[in-house]
Amino acid sequence: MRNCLSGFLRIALAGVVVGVFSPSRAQPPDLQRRLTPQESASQVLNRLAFGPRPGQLTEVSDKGWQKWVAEQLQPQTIADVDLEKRLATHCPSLSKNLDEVRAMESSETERGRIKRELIDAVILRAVYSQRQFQEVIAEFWRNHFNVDVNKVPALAMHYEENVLRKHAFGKFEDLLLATAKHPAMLVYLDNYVSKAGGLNENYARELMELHTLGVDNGYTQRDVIDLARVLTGWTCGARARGRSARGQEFGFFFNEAAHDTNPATVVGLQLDGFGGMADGEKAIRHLARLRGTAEFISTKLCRYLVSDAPTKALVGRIADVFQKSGGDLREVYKAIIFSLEFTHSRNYRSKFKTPFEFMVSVLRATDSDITSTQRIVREMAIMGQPIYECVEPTGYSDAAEAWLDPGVLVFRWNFAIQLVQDKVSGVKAGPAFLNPLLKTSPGNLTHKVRSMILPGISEPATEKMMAQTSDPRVMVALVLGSPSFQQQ
Amino acid sequence: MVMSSTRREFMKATGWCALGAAAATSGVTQNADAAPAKTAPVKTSPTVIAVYLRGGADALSAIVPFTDRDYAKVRPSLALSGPDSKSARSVLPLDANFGFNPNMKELHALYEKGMCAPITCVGSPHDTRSHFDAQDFMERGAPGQKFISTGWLNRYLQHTRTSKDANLRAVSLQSLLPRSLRGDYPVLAKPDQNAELAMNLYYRLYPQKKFKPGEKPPSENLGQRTRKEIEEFGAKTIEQLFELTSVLETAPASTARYPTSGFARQMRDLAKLIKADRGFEVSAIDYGGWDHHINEGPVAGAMGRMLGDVSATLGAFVEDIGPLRAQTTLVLVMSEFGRTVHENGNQGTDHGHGGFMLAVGGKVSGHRVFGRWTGLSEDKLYEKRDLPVHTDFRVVFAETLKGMFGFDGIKLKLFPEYSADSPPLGFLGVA
Repeated sequence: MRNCLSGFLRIALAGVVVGVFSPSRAQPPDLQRRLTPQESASQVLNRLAFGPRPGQLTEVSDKGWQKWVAEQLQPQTIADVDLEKRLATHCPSLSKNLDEVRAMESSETERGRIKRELIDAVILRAVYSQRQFQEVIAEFWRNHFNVDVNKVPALAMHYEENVLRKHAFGKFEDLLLATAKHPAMLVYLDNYVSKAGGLNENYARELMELHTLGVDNGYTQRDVIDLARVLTGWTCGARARGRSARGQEFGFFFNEAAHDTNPATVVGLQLDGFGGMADGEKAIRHLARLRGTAEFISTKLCRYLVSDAPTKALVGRIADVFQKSGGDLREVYKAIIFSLEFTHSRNYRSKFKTPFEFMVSVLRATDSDITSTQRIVREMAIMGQPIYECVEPTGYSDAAEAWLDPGVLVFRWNFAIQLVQDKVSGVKAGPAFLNPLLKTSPGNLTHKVRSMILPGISEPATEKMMAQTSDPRVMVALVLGSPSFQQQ
Repeated sequence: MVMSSTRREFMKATGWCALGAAAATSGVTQNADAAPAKTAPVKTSPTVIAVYLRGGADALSAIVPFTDRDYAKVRPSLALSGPDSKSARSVLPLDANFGFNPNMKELHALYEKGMCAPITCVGSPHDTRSHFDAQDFMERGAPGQKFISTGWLNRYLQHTRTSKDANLRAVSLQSLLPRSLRGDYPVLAKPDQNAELAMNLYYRLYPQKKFKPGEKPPSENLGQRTRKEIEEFGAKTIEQLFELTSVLETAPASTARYPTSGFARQMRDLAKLIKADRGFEVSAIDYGGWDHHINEGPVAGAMGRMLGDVSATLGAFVEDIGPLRAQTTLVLVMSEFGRTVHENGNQGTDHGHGGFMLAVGGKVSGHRVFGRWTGLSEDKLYEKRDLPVHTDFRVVFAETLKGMFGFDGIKLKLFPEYSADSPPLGFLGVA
């Protein structure tokens, strides 16, 4: 039987030796090269998952990172029993339809409850889902198509389930159209009150500036106004149910009386004004298919997955895939992940974890059991990234410059210290993390702790610090707060 | 973490203090080789502290228009009486029209010294009566604009940022950074508990790095560059926290007598920062609980006690920092809106519109109440129920920045989409 463990240790030690001979600290000498299979596995677990769970780097290395990725790109084939149990307990409202969800908006307690369930679902899924890439990409779209839960508390949950999660592996234009028609977005960006003679440009502008082309990337103020006119009448409210059912239900409906029937031109697409709702759909699909959109979305995805400053060459190639595949997001993700750049030394551990990425990676690394999310939610607010509460339609940024602040690290340090002292109520480190440590002899503890939390990463300076204590809790806190653990 | 007893047997009991033990015995000092360089004191710098009374503080019970003929009518149970009535409800006279709430003795004394400027009928042109929105609008200096996320004070700091900014230039002593301080400029937020523990635990992992001779800076490897950035930020954090903690811990005890509230604790610590002459310039404090819908109690009740706390604290603060530093310090007290002119059926008041502000400091133009006053008759009220807003709060903000820092917030467009066509109040003797 192949001895995985010694193979893993051998590689780790080799990394340490190299580190000792090089003038700079922990990392191997700067070479322009592809990543080793194990480094690729690590890159994959940090970029396409919210960090490894105990032992997961070995699993993925053994399986082969490409095979793991292929599975993750088909999330529906991966079982998720533990997560589903947790969601059933904590978030029963996830399966509610729009009517039910809308009914909850009228009571303050119900609003509070569904808001809490939505935030809990985000946390629990990120921490526990086996479909990690699905969660990573859901987080991307959550920010790209941002809505503020405080403005649309109950609608946001239905939006998360039925728009973002439903279309994340489909075609971009379908996802875009679904956001345009969902009451959460219609209310959040005010389009639901926009009508002929009383135009509200907010949504039309953000649709181009944030959702498709990007700031000043090929559209003018005239386009904004015209698009707004095309989208008049796109609202929500009570509508007749489908043919087979009677009565009314709440949802998107096209209010013909409010629609502007003048001709319009949206970034080159000419509409005569009499197409009704179909004109809006035409305009949205037209925007989705523009080269500028392919480049903007590709840039954002490359920034999210590869590097804060992706090269023009990479973005260009991905935009090509985007267009050639008709905006097939799964193809786009695949192209990025299997690109030269993704598994290149240049981009290895080159990103900085956002507060959310830090929090989830801590909870995964320590195999934490979450019985209450209250403290976690509070910590996210303290760290400046309250879940689903981003007021601006830009959503939270993913780049280091948005989060690298002197104060930022103190809250991470304090959280790590509290966690190891069992002072984070509702959160407890689990057996997959603790048991291996309990079985380790004192002399090997520093290395074991580091290798469990930062598998495959050589950190001689951190281990040297850790060796000054014999308390494993201090060691764990040190690693969780170390510079390396903040890298992604 | 659950440990088995055998584990515990060979685990030393040094535990948490293992790494911090040395530091604990010698106060906050650290090993010489890694201790951040002690920065030399800088000259006394101007300082602005914004105090945010959250909830909508009742202007009429703070700056009391006791001579207004409608006053007693609109406030049957809450009305305070004139200065001559010599009762517990007697206001402290400011001018012919106004008096301070009797709990504001210290602020009254400052007023008489010309160091306190009350401002009435000030607030936001926006009509929202939602705490959430109104607070955001005021702290961001952008009424009605939902997509501005930076605070007005942070924008000032960012605008005037230099590479030599003092470590303690902008500080918040509460764990959740006030919105007025949020934005691109890195404001040091002192966490609630155990900042020292974190510092002592991590400082060696975040050394202040300078390149050794012969060592090339990382070029193409973004991972190394990111790593370096993280280490630098960590080192900067520790340096700032170290300086903050050592200033607070080594400062001599103040002789001024502060109340025992959380607000007073923060102000006392800010006074220490000012006296340490370390370039401390800006802070903001939240003071919650002013939403007095029921039993407002302006004399002996809730609001009276809170006003007393604010007054006693600011009085102690001014005494604490001394007359020289009082000249270069301004405390600006504000609230998101005032309250209804009429009291409600529960001896309280509801959300209003125009409110009040207080400017406390040596540069204040004293001996008068600022802001236009048009009386309490119904035809002069906003929507027939609230004090009107005669002065946009941005006027006060802009005057504060101009008068204390010489910074023209209007010309430099610090307030998005603000046309600024109204004249300054002149409460800092600056037009």
